[in-house]
Amino acid sequence: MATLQSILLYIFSFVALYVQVFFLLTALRKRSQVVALTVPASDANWPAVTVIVPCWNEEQTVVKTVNSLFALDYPKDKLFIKVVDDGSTDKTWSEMQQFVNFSNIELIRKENGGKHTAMNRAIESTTTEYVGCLDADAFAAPDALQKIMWHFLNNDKAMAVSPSILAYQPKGFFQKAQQVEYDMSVFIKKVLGLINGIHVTPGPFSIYRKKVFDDLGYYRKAHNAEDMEIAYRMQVNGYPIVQCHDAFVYTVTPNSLKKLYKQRVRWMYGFINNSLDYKSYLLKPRYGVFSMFTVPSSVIILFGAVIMTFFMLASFAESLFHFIERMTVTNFYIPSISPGHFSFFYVDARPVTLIMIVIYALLITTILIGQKMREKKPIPTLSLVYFVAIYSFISPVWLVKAVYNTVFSRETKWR
Amino acid sequence: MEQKFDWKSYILAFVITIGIFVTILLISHYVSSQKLASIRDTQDSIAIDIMSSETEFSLLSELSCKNIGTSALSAELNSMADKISYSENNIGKTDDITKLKKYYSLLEIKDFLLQQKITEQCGKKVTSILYVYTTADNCSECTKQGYVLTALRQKYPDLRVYSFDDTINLSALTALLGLYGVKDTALPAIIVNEEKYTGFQSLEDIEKLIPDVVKAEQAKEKAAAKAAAASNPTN
Repeated sequence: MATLQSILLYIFSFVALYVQVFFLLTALRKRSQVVALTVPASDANWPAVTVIVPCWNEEQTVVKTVNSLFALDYPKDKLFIKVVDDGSTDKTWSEMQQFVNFSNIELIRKENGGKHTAMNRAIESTTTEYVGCLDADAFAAPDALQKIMWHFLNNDKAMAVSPSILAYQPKGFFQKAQQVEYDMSVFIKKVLGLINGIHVTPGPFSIYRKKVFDDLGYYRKAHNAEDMEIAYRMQVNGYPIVQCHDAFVYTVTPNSLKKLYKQRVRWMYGFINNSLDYKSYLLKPRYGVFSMFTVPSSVIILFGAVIMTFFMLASFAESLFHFIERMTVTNFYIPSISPGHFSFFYVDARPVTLIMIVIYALLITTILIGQKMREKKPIPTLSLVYFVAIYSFISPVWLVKAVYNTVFSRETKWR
Repeated sequence: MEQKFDWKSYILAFVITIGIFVTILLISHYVSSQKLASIRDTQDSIAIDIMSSETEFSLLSELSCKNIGTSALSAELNSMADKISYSENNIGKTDDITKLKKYYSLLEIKDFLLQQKITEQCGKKVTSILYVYTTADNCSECTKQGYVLTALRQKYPDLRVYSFDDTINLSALTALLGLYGVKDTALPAIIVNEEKYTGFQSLEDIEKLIPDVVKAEQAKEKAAAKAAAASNPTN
């Protein structure tokens, strides 16, 4: 057990370290592109874009989301909005009515069929060359669309462009911890974008050439992670996805452990099952970075985290058992410890501990670079501690649940 | 459409990661060897102290009874035991550690014999416990006995506990265990006042075997409480 544990620990920590080194090395080699800001020309000939807002029980946020689209710094005659009510049972439809007289906005109501059906209904009737999605719980920054479209204008090969997603007004322990994760993603996604290894075009404001849907088909039912499936499909068909790191979109993040847990089980379930669906495309150099690096390394790290957590819990249980045993046989005798008791001899310098220190140091570096890229001061804050606490100890739980759901074929729910 | 896959970055990252791993292994190995070297150094100085006490004792015989005091040495031996067992848990049962354990056991035996001589010739009674355990198989009783003896050692600083791992191959230890009839099939075993007890002995059981030590400690505590009360008359 102990030997197996250390072998697995070394393998997983090697992969984790390798992935971090790879990201930082790639960023270093392409540093001019990593930091390059998107500066659209003032006289650009902006193309027409359709933005679809799929809604299911979004009475609280739908108006704000549509208003964020109106506030976009983009020619009004080139922006078309389609709000699709996917059979909401709350007041979403009546909230949407305040936009009924706007010329460039179309309101659609349909039976509930899932996000992908709402998107497809709107895409079917789209005539513009570009089409995108904005989840009804996300708000785009005013300059986001111009920056995204500027990438299309300057890169004929770009088939989709994704923005950087940030947490909307993070408050409290859980949202602040997630903000750190989103900060880190700003950097990770940018590097992946530069090597064409992105495996998800997120619902909040990813824009596609309409050609993608014409050539590869519409959204499919894909384990409640349709925005991941379309990215997988694009990657295996060689349709490049670009990351515009300085176009910001703010998403409402779960504010409780229960909501966060549900969201992450859904994401993980989507990741595992989409990866299983596309397994025949993985580890094949002809499908590029997505197939050789992004998906395989994510799988190894995620499962490594689960196995390591299992060992950690086992070792914790063992220590607890010994502690209780010691307390019982010594009649709860606790020796007094003098302040001079500390000795450097007992500083843990096992290879595994040192490797963990390096991994966490690189992780923090990645987060700070992400913060810098999103124009925030790269200073470690308390949120970093929240992040490490939640993601080190709780994330394996939702991963285990996602694996469990996969094995026992249980579909995840949106909410 | 076939995509390009640039192997170079991946190989370079792999080489760098290997480099970091190797550096970490080297640093860790260096630190461990430094730690073991520090144990070895302390053991050497303990050996010198023991030999010096022995020599002093033989030279001056009864005259030296007043000056002979080896309680500091005993504390050093205890901290040595902690360090060796910590290293054994963290580094594993390497040849280096086995050697250190043998050396340590030898020092314990020498210290034990010296104490016996002092008791005989000077009449100074020092209570000591010989504790034999095994690391060969999963001896849960030994773990429990270890906890009890560690607590006793901390509770009664005057008590001397000499612990021996039965699995180390040391003829002096075999001879000592032979003297008391300790068998490797009946472990843990403790020897108090020349009496052998096999199997787990509880804290209370052992306290009953060492009444002098318990009384002395109680007297010490009383004296300390008195002194504290005298220095703070308002209470």
